Amino acid sequence: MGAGRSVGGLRGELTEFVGRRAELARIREALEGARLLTLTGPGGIGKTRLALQVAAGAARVFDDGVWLTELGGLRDPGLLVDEVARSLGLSDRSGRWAVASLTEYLQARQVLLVLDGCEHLADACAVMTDALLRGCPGLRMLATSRHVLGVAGEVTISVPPMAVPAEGGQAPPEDLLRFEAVRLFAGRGAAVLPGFAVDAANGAAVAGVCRAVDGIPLAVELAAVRLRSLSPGQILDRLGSRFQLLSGGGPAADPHHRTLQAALEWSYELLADAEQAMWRRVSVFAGSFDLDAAEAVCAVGRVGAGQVADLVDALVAKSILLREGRGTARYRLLDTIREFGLGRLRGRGTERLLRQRHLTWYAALAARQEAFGPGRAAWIAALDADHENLRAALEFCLSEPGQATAGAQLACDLWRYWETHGHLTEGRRILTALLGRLDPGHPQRPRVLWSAGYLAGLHGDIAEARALLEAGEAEGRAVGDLRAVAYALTYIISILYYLGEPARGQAAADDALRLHRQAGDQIGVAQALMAIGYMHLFSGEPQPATERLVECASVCESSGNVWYHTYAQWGLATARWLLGDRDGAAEPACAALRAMRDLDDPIGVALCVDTLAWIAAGKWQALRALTLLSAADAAWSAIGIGWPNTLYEQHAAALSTARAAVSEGAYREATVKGAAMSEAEAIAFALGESSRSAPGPPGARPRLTRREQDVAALVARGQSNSQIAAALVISARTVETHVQHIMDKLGCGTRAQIAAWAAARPPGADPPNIRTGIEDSPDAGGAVGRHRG
Amino acid sequence: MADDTDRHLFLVEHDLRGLSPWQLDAVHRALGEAVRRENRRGGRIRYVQRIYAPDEQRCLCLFEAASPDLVRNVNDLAQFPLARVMAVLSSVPDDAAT
Repeated sequence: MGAGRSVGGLRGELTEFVGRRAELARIREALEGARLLTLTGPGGIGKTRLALQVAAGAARVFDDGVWLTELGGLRDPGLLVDEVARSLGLSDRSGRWAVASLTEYLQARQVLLVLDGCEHLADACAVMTDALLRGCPGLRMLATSRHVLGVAGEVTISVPPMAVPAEGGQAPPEDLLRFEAVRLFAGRGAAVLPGFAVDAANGAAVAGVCRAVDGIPLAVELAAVRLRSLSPGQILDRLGSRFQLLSGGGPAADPHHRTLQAALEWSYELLADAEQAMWRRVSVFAGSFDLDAAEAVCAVGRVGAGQVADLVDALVAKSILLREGRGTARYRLLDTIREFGLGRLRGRGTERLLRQRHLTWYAALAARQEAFGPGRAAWIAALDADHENLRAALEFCLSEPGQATAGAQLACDLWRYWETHGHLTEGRRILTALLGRLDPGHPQRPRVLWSAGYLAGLHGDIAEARALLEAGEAEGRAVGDLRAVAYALTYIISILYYLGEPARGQAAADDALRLHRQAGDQIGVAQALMAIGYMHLFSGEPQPATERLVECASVCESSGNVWYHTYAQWGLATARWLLGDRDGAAEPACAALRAMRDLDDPIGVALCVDTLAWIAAGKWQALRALTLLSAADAAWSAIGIGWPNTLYEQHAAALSTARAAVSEGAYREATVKGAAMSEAEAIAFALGESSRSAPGPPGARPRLTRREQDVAALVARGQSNSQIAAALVISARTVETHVQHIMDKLGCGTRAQIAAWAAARPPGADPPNIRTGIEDSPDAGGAVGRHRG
Repeated sequence: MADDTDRHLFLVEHDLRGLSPWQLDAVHRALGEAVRRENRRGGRIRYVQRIYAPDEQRCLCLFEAASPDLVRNVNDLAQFPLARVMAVLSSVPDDAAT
C-alpha cells in the first residue's frame, strides 16, 4: 500500500496559465542539473504558478511522482517534516526522528518534491532539505520562497515580472499581445467582460496599466478584473496617480513589493465598505474555509449573516478570494492578499474579536465528537479540511492571555483526530504547551495530562507516557475528576503490561472499569474492555482476550460505538486465529476490514489485511498471502509502527509458509504486486472483490459507499439536503458532507450531474436504505481509500 | 559568545532508536546547522558536546546559550520538536587533575 506514482496534492488551477515560456524553459533546464532549485521573488510575482506548471509537466520524469507541500498554513518550524510526510500520504507514528523516517521512505525513490512558500520557515526548510538531499539520491526539490534558502548546492532563479511594452509609440494590438503582461490582462479581462479584447482603441491604455503595475502578475490580474466596471483608460487614470506618488521615494523596499502593495491598496479602496470589511475578516482564516464558517466568523457589526454569501461572491468576482473544491465550495486567499487584509484588520484593532469568533467556530466543530459513531469518517474529513484553521485557533489560544482553558478544551476534543491521522507530534506539542499555561489545580489539567500521555504512548515514548498518565490520575483525584482518573487508568493498562507489570496493569484495569461503569460512560467501558482484551491478545492469551472482546463488542453494539466495535471484531478474529479456528477467523476479519474502510482508519485496515494474510497462508493460498503480507508491510511502513512481538510471529510464520510454497519468481511478483497496491486496492483484494468492483487505476469508475449511494439516489429525486436528512435520520450537515464526497468522487460540480450519474446506474443497483436511517453493514464497495495510488 | 553573566548550560536528551550510523551523523549535522542559523539571526548559542549511549540509543546534547528558548528553537529547526530542555550546571571534580 505505497504512495505510488502520482502528482500528489497539485491543485487544479482555476485560471489559464499565461506566457512565461522563457522562465519555464530556464527552470526545466536548471532542474535537470540541480538537486535543489529555489524560485525566489516577492509575493505576487508568480513563483507558485511557475512551480506548479513545471511540476505538472515533470510527472512523467519521476518514477515515484511529483509531490507538493504547501507551507503557507504551517507556522511551527518543528512540524515541517511531519507536514512534508503528510503530503506524501505518510503518517509516521513511530516517534523516531522524523527526518530519518522520511529519508528512509525517499531514499530509493525518484521523486520531485515541491515546497511552496518557504520564506517563513526558511531555516527549518534549509536544515531539512540538506538532510533529505544527502540521504536520498533520487530526490529533487523545487522550492518557492521570497528569499534563498542558503543550502549547499542550491540553484536559485529569481522570477522576474512579466514583460511589458516600452513606453511611447502606438503599437498595434498584435504587437502588444506579444507581451505576457498584456496577454494576461486580456485573458483575465475577457473572463470578467466577455468579448473584451485588446484593440487599437484600448491598446495604449492596456499597455499603460501593465507598465504601471510593473508586469507583476497578481497586480495585473487585480487590475484586469476591474474591467467589469471600468474601461482600460479609466483603470490607467486611477492607477496612474497612485503610482506616481509611489515612485516618489519612501522606504528602500523591493520596488516590486511596493508596486504590489500599491495595487492591493488600490483594489481595496475600490471596494464597498462591506466588501473591505469582509476582506479584512476572512484574513483570519488559515488555508481555506467554507461559507458556513465565513458566516459564523465574519457576520459581526454592520455585516449581517445574510450578506456574507453576497460579499464572498463579490470578493471572488474581484479575484480577492479564490474558490476551490468541486463539492461544497471552499475559499482561499493568496498569502499576499491575506497579509494585506490582516494588516488592515490590525490597524482597526478588531483582530482579537475576529480570532475569538474563529476559535468559537472551530471549537464547535471539534466538539461534535463523532469519533465513535457512523459519522466518524465525515467528521474526521471535516477536521482534515480545516486542519490549518484548527492550528490557527490553537495558536491563538497559546498566544493570547486568558485563552488557555479554551485551548485545552479544543485540544482535548482533537486528540482522536490527531491519533487517527498520525499527527502525534503536533498533538503532543500543543498539549505540552497548554500544560505550561494551566496552573496546578486547574480542572482541565487532568484531561490534558491523560490525552498527552495517551499520545506519548502511541509514539512509543513509554516513560513519558507513564509519567503523564500517573500525573493525570493523581491530579484527577485531587480535583475530584473521576472521569479523568478512569481514562488515565484505562490508558496506563497497556503501558504497565508493556513494562512487565501485569499485576498493576490488571489493578488499573479493574479500577478503570469500575469508575467508567459508575459514571455510566459506555465509551470508557468499551475502551477499558478493549485494552484488557488486547493485552491478553498480545500476551498470547486468546481465550481471556475473547471473553473481554465479546463483552466489549456487546457494549459497543448497545451504545452505537461503531469504531470500537470494529476493533473488537478484529481482535476476535485474531483470537480465533490464535485458537486454531482458521475458518472462523475469516468472517470477522472481513467484516472488520469493510468497516475500517468506511471509517477511514489506516491502522485498522493494516491490522485486518495482515490477519487475512495469515489466514490465506494457513489455507495454502500462498500467492494471495504473499500479496497481502507485502501490502500490509507497505502500510505499516507508511504508518511507522510495528506489531507487538506475539503477533509479528504470526506475520513472520505466514511469510515463511507462503514463501516456501512458491517459486522465487512467483514470490517476487506477488510481493511487488502487494507493495504497489493503494490502500483501496489492497482492501478490495483482501475481500476478494471482483476487479470490476475494486477501485482501480486513475480514470476508473469511482465507487460510493452505501450511504453515499442512498444520498445520491435521493438527490436524483430532487430532494433538498433537509429532506434527505429527514428521510435518512441524519443531520443536514452530514448530508452536505456526503454530497461533497459524492461530488468529489464522481467529479461532479452540480446536483444535476449527481442525478444524471444515478440515472445511468444499472437497474437493480442498491436501493436507498431509508427505512431505519441506521447505517447498516458497509457493503463491499466502500469508500476509496485516502492513500494515493 | 555570550558574556559570562548570561552564559547557561542546557542539556537535551534525544531518543535516537532505530537510527543507522549514517543517520546519527545526519542528526548532528542538522543540530550543527540549526545552531549556525540561529546564530546568524542573532541568537547566541553553542553546541558544546554530545554524549551518545549506543546501548540505550540515546544522545545527550549540551548547549551553551543565553536562554532555553534558543535551545528549543535550534531543536525545532533540526526537527526535534518534542525535545525536553533542562538547565544544568557543570563542574569538574576537585581531584580531576590528579
